[in-house]
Amino acid sequence: MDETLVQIFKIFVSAALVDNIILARYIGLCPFIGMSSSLANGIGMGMAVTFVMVLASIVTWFLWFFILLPLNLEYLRIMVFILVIATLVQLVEIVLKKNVPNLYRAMGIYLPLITTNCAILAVTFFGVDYGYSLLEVVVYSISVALGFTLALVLLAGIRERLRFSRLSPFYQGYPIAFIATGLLALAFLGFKGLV
Amino acid sequence: MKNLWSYFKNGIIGENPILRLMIGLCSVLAVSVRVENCLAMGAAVTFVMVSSSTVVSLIRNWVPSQVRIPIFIVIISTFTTVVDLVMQAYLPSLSQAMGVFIPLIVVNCMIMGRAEAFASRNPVGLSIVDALGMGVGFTLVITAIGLVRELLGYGQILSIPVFPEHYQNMMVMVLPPGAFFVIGVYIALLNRFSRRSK
Amino acid sequence: MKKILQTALILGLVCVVAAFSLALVNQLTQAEIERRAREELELALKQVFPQAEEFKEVEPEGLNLPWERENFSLLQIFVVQAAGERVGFVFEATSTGYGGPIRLLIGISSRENELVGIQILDHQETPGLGSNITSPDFIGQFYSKSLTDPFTIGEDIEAIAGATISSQAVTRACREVVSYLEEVENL
Repeated sequence: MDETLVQIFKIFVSAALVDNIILARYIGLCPFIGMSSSLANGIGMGMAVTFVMVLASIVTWFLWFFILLPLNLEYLRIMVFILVIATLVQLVEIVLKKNVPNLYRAMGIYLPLITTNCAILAVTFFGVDYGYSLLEVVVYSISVALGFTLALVLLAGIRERLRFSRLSPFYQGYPIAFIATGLLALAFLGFKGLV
Repeated sequence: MKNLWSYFKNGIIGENPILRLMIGLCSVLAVSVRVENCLAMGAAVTFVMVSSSTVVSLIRNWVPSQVRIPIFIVIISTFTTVVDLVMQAYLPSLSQAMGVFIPLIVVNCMIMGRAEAFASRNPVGLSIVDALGMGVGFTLVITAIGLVRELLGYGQILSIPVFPEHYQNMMVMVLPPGAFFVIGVYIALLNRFSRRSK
Repeated sequence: MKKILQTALILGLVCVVAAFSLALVNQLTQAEIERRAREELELALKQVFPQAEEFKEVEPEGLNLPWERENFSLLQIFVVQAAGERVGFVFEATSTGYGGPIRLLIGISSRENELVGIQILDHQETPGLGSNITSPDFIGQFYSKSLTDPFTIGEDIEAIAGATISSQAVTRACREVVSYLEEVENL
């Protein structure tokens, strides 16, 4: 039992901090830059990503180990996984709209954006590539999503303040957002070697 | 002819996918450590882009609009898998260097965006030209970023040393932060020049 | 109802065509991919043990493979043969570095009781620092070392400046392989 706990903690730290999906692996940048202009946006997007990421990882994990691998259909992986994610996003949207309108209001508008969020697809790939068990995949996807949300919220906080600082007009908006991200990434390098 | 050229140019300057529209960023930043990788990535993206635009445009008249997105996804992922398999077979070292970013071409919003916004509404010829323009625009930007990063980070271009031996490599350029700095400065420069020309 | 059927039919048709063309491309490339992977391994093995003529993968029975130690695991063993005789072994192992596992090959000559070569296959160490574990300056230190040497940073091995953990990972791998050899006698 102890050993699994240690293993889970290791996965958590490395997925959320050391290998932060945005700051160390450059995956999921489009929504990151697009959605980090305000704190509220950042949190909404983070929630939506967490939700879909965990669901998608579980579904693709079963598909990979119980259908694609036994049938030697590894080469259909890209197509199957992306279709699963696209379908899942639609389903989640419909179910939330009907049953949990509050939650839908909070993250509904971010859901359609998620289909083309590479972070989700990448996590489903990594989940099966690393040979994780089902429990580990769940922990892994939650940790990655937390890392994603953390980076998003951090940058959103910075950008909210940047609006009031005096900047060269050429740097306003995206350029300074990228440079701030670079500085964050530099800070996150400090986590390297932790696990 | 002139018309075609303007469609082509649109992807390179007017609506450059990376610097103007901020899409397709992931692969740009991850792969641009070396110019060689950039060129290969550019070629891969252009191939997927042109082939899927061609197919989407060819079948545009009998695709029911409710299922057009899944159909586009299937088409794009087919071509992405082809690129992935071919690279694994014939360019193994490049395919290893780019790792997961080849399969991730499938979620490059740029390709989906062009399929939906352009290829599904225009004849084949125009769609190919548009896709080519976008692909070349993508390749140019990614290579420009790669040039700076490889030059400063390794003191080399296309793995050929350019600086004298004493050059101290700027390691930050090879690491993630460098990528973010370079693209930030590029966008700022673009802002500056486009404002001037107005 | 007819509309739905038609839509589903078209979607299904597209999927079938796509799956078929992928199966075809897969057929065409699979052999090449496997051949390259084999060639690559063969080449790496040759570099680790240049005087060898043949490498044979050892059946893992009774060898406790994979052999796990702290931050180290031994994955596979190849028997090296030259002129019809068994001259040594190549060990494939992973050792945890700074950025994750480092996968490497270690060649041991059983006749001279020394380390003949090392080849790093895969690593995610920091570019410019830890990635120097692949440089001849560092790796060269291990060549022709006797198995009775301590294989310890600061004693007989000099670490790469600024990359102690990565250097330790490679050194540890050698040390563990030696202790494995001592533990398993009838290899």
